[in-house]
Amino acid sequence: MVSFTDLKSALPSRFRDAATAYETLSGVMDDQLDPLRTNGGKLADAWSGDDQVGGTTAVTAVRDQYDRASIAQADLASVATELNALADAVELAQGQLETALEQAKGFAIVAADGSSIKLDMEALQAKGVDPSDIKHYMTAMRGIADSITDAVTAATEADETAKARIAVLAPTLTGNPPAPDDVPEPDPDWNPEQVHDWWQGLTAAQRQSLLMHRPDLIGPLDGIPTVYRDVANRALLQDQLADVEAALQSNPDDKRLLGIREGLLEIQDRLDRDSGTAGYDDRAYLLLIDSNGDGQAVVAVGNPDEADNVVTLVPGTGADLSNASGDVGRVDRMVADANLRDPNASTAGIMWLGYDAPDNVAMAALPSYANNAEDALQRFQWGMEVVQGGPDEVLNTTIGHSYGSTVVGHSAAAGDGLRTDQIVLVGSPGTGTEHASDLQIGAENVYATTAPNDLIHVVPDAPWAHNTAPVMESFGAQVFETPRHDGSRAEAHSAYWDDGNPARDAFSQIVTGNGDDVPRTDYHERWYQWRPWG
Amino acid sequence: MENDLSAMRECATALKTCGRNVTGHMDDNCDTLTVTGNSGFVTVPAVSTIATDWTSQVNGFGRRLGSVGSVIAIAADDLGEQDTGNGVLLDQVTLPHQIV
Repeated sequence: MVSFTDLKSALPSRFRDAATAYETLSGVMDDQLDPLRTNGGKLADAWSGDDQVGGTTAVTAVRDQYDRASIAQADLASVATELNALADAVELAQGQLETALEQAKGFAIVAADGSSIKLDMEALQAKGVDPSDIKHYMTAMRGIADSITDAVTAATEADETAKARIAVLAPTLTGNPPAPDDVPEPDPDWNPEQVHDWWQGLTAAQRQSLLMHRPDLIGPLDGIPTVYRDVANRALLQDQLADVEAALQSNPDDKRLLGIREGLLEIQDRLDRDSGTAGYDDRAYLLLIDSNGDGQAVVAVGNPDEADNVVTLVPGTGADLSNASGDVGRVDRMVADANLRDPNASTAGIMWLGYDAPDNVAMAALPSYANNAEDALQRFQWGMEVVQGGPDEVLNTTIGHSYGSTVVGHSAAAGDGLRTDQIVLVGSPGTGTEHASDLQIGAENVYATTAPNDLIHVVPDAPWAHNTAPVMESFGAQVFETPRHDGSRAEAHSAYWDDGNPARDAFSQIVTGNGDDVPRTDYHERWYQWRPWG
Repeated sequence: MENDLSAMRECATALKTCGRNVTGHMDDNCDTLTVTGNSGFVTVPAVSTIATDWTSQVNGFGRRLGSVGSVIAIAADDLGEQDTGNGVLLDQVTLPHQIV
């Protein structure tokens, strides 16, 4: 148990130093993954004939080392997370303790070991305090004693939590994990909080078993920390690439398969990109990968569990796995903009294509795609909130573009709503609701913008057409201006993340918690009403 | 199909480089994985325990990659002439629990 004197003399910076060391080691292991994966593949192709046994053994060995290194880098990153969390808690408790001791000065004496506190009668006498006022000082002294106890208790609890969690993060670079059948699985009905509790209760070997043998279970599971979902989904990506390549052998001209392969390879490229030199966390994490149908993917730029601000982009009509990297690029830009705007806080971003988006404008008239996406987006955001440590730990902003804004609107309006602090509706045809307050986070936290010549203005404001456009005054959102685009109406609809577009400044201000500084536009009409084809 | 000896040598070199990267980092930084001071905090001895394990296992991992790379390089050399049963040799050096 942490004592009063332990807390008083604690050096939280030492926990941070160790966290940095584990973070760096995690990075070193991470850096080996790309060469291990690519050379494992080359080796498989290089070795054949009578010596295939050697080739197979070597390939198996390299792949095994890849899997283990992949889990190790996640475990090491988790050790760093726990040490940083402990340092934060100790700093907070130390601050509370110092404040209490400061407040006691002049009227109370705290024993050197914190074991007792009593009124400083000599000091009170010297001050000329009336004896009838002593009871006020007694009350104040009890408050200080409680504050000291609370600080020591908080430090003790944080210490015990960190110890328990770090003890689980023993390395698994050697030894054999238990069979996956011997590891308890989560109930399919569990919510993300229950999933998280289950994961935290597993041993290192049990986690290793699931990551190596059941990536299909762990990869899409909301409530699992980002670093582990990433391990599982990277393995799934390799499997899916191999499956697509095999399918293309018999159907080389299959357009869907060709598109899926392109999308998977582009995501792989982004995952392989060197990180660490941007001045902020720009490592990519794969949170979902699914090659069925049009395909789905969720990619984070920077670790959203660790950031101060997180922006989640939900793309719209036409989005699928084949072009997902374009939307990841938009997130890359928003993350760079936000970290540049506020270098003292860290911002991560997420491209969330965890739903089947409409393929074309005609299909985008239907609300069914948004209805089908409600649960998935709600659950994803809930899982994020859990792994971030609770609703007050991170400023979460969800941006919906085009039909993605309809998805965000439906998710926010349904049931208990969307776990996000702010919503930004960009080029939106409507959210399915009449007023920003229907999104259940307060209309003052709902932003909207649409360029004057955005094609989306052709969508009428009607209940059968996703209801009121968010830039209408009657919707009640915080509307900010995106200037007219020089290109076509279709280009205007997709230009919000282009270099030089002022909308990006607004995004970065909102995402970093400075949305109040974004100038509001006082014109809330639908521009199409007076200049339909301008 | 012929064995692609140059590809095998390339892989061998890459694996040895990976191994050296890891062990080199550990040589310079293993002392930083523990927490000093902060008496009374039970996390401190817990970190010391895992630091020992991580140091040992990461070093073993680095050495193992180097060994696998070396054996593949030897196999590539020998395969220029004949089959020398390198599958057996590989089995001996690559099983994870044999090198720590």
